[in-house]
Amino acid sequence: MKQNALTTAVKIFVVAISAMILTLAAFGIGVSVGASQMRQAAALPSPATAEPVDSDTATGEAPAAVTPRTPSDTMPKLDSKLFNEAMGLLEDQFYGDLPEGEDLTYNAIQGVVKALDDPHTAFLDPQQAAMFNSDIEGTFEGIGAQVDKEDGGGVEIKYLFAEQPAIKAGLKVGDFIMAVDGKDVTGLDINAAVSLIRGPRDTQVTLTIQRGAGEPLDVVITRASIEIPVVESKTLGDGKVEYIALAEFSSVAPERLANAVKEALAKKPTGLILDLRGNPGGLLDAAVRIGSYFVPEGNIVIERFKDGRQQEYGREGRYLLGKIPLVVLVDAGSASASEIVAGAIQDAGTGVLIGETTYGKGSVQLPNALSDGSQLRVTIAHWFTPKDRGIHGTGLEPDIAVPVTEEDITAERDPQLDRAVEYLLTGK
Amino acid sequence: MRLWRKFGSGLVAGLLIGGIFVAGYMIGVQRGRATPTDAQSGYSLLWTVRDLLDRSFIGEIPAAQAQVYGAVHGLVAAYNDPYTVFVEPASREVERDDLRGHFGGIGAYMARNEAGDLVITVMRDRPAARAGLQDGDILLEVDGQPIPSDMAVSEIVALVRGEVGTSVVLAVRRAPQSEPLSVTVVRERIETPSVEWRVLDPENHIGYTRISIFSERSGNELSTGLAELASQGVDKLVLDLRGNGGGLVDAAVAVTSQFVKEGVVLREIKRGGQERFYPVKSTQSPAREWKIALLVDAGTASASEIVSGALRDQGRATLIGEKTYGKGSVQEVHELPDGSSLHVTVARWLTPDRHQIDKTGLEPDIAVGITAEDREAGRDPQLAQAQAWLSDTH
Repeated sequence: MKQNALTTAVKIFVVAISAMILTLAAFGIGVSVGASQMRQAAALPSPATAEPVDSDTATGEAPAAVTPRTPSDTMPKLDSKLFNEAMGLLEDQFYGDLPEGEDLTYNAIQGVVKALDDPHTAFLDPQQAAMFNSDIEGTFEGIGAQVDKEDGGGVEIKYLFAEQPAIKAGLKVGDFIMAVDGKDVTGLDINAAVSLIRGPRDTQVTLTIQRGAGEPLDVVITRASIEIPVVESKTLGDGKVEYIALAEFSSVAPERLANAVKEALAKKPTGLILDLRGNPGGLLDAAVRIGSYFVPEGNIVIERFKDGRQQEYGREGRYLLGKIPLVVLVDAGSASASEIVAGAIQDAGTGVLIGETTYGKGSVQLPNALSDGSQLRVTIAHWFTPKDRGIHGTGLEPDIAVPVTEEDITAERDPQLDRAVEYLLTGK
Repeated sequence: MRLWRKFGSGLVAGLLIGGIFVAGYMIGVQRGRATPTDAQSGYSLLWTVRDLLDRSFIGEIPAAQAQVYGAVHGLVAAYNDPYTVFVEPASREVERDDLRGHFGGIGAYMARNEAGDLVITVMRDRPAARAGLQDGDILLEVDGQPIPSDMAVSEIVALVRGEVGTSVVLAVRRAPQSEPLSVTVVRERIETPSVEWRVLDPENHIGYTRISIFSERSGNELSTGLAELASQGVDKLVLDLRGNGGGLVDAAVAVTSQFVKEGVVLREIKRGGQERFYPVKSTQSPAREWKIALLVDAGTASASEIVSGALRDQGRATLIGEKTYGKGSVQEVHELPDGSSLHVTVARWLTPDRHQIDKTGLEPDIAVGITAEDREAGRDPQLAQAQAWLSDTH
C-alpha cells in the first residue's frame, strides 16, 4: 500500500482544482472553449471561472515531504478506535441501503480533507481522477461536447466541438441527455453521467435526448478521440496585430502555443496579443515553459513551502517574443498558471497587462496518485512572481484597467480587445 | 456506552440557534456495543491520505481529533440518510440536557444577532439575572476564553453550562463603546419545562396544553397539568403539538398513554422486517374521556407524529391545522467514549393502523392555515378553530 502510493505518486505540481471545473471540463471543454466563449464566461461570473483550476508540472522531484510513513505509525494519532466504533454501529444497525464499494472509504477521506478547510486540497475518486487526467492531457475519448447538469435533471449540452461526433450526429446546444445506453442519468452526479458517455473511440453510445417539449429521441453516436482546442489565433488591426488566445495550460499547450506564436511572428506584426482571459490555469510546468517564450531572462516563478524552503523556476528553452510589443489580456477568470505567466511578463516588462484584476490563486497543489487510481491533490506551496510579489487572494492588477459591462456582452463588444489593438497600434 | 433511542426531526439545527433546543431521543435501551469490524484493514487508503496531508499540506494541520471527526462525518455521509448523523461532544451535551429537561446553568438564552455578536437574554430570577447580567449584554469571554465569531452557539452554551454549584466567569459588553464587565455566576439547576397548560375557556370547560419537546420529564409534567386542569372543571382539551420537532419515543408513549386506555402507540419495523409494537402504558389520568382537538403543523414531527397518529387511529382526537412534517424513522443514539454521539436510523415506524408517516406526514382532519399577517396581528386561527370545534361538540 505504502509502496504503491509512493511509486505511483505523480510527480507533478498543480496549482488547483475544483469540482466545478471538473464538471465543466468533463467533456474536455469547460476550461478550454474558444477565446470568445471564454471571454463571455469570464465577464458573466459563471461557475467555470469563479473557481479556477489549475495545474501541474511534470518537472521537479516530488518534495521529500511526500514520502508517506507507514500507516501503522500514524494510527495512534488518528483515533481509529472511534472511527471503527462508529463504523461498526452503522454496519450493524443502519436501516436502509448500505453504501456500495469504496463509497465509505472515499467519503471518510473527503471528511478528512474537508477538515483542512482549503478549497484547493481535494480528493478525486478514480473516475474523477481519470477524467481530470485526460482533460489535463488535452485529449479524451468521447463525443465532443461540453455539458452541465443540475441535480435531478438531464445532462445539458452547453457547447459542441466542431467536426466532432456529437455535432455530426445532430445534437444541439440546449439538448438534455436523459439516459445513456438506456440507463437513466438524471439521478447521477455529472461526473458519473459523463463517465457513461465517454468511452473508447470507435465504440457506440446511445443517448436518449430530450429536446424542448418533444418526445425523447434516441441518438446513436460513435465515439472518437477528441482533442481539446487550446489555442485560437487570428489577425486584427488591419493585419498589423496578431492575436492568440490560450484556453488552458494542459500538457499540449506549450507546443501548440509555440507554434502559434512562431506563425504569428513570421507575419512581422506591429504587436502581439496573448489572451489569458477566462484561463483558469493548468500545469505549472506548462506555465514555466510558456512564460519563457515571453521572458528573456531570470525566473518565471518562485515557490515557497511550509518549512520556508523555496524553489525558483528559471526560464527555460527559447525566447520567442523578440522585440515585438506584447499585450496580455487578463480578467477575473485568469487564474493560477495564467497569473504566473502574466506576473512574470509584468515583472520582466516585456508586455502590458490590459483588462481586469486577476483571480488571485497563488497556491500550488501536488496531485498524488493513490493505489486504486484515485487522486489526492494537496496544497503544498504558495508561489510568488519573479519580483517576489504574492498574489494569493489579491490577484494581479492590470497596467491598463478596462472593464467589460453587461451591455458590452449583450452587444458582443470586446472593449478590452479593442483597447489592446489600440495600444499596439498607437503605442499608448 | 449508553444507548439512547431517538426520534429526531430535521429541525434540530434551527432550534439549536436558540440555545435551548431540542429534538429528541429515546429510551435508554442498554445494548452491547457493536463489535468493531475488520473495517480498518479496508481503510488503508484513508490512513495513506491522512499521512500525505500531514506531511505536505502547507496550511495548519487540524488536530487529530478534528481529523477523526471529519472522517466520521464523511463516513456517516456515505449512508445518505439525513437522520443518521455524527454529533460532536459540545452539541451532544446541549442536546442531552434538553432531553433531560434540566441542567446546571446560569438561566440565560444566547443567540447571535445580525452582526454576529452573541446576545444574552436573561431568565427572571435565575443566577444570571441575580448576578447582574442584563438583556442585550454581548458575551465576549467565558472563563477567560474569548468567543470567536464563528464558534457554534452550542459550543458556547456547553462552556457556560457545568456542574450545579460551580461558578463561571463571563466577560460581557453592555454599551457599544464601554469597557467589558466581568461577572461571576454560580450555576444552578435550571429546569426546562416541556409542557405548559392553562384553562382556555372556563365556560365551555376547555383547557389548553402545549408540549414543546418530548423530554424525559414530559410524561410527569403533563400528568401534573392534566390533574390541575381537571380540578378546574376542564373536560375538553386543545393539545398543541405545533412546532414540536420530537424527542424521546418513551415520552411519546407516556403522553399518548394519558389519553387512551389501551392498545398500540406505534409499530416499529427494523431492518430485515422484524416488527415490534409499543403498547399503551397503564397509568392514572383524568383525560381518557376528554374531547381532544390536536393542533398540528409542518413543524410537528417525529415523536409528535407518533402521538398524533396514535390518538387519531384510536378515534381520540381530531387533527386541526396543517400537514405534519413526515418523519417516520427511528434513530438510536450511541454515546461514544469521548462525549460525541452517533445517531443511526435503525427502523421505520407506522401508526397503530399501519399508516406510513415517512415523507407523507399526517393530513389534518380540519385544515386551517395561519398567515404571516395572522402572526403579526397576534391571531391564531388554528387555535380558534380548535376552540370552536370543541365548543360545538358538547
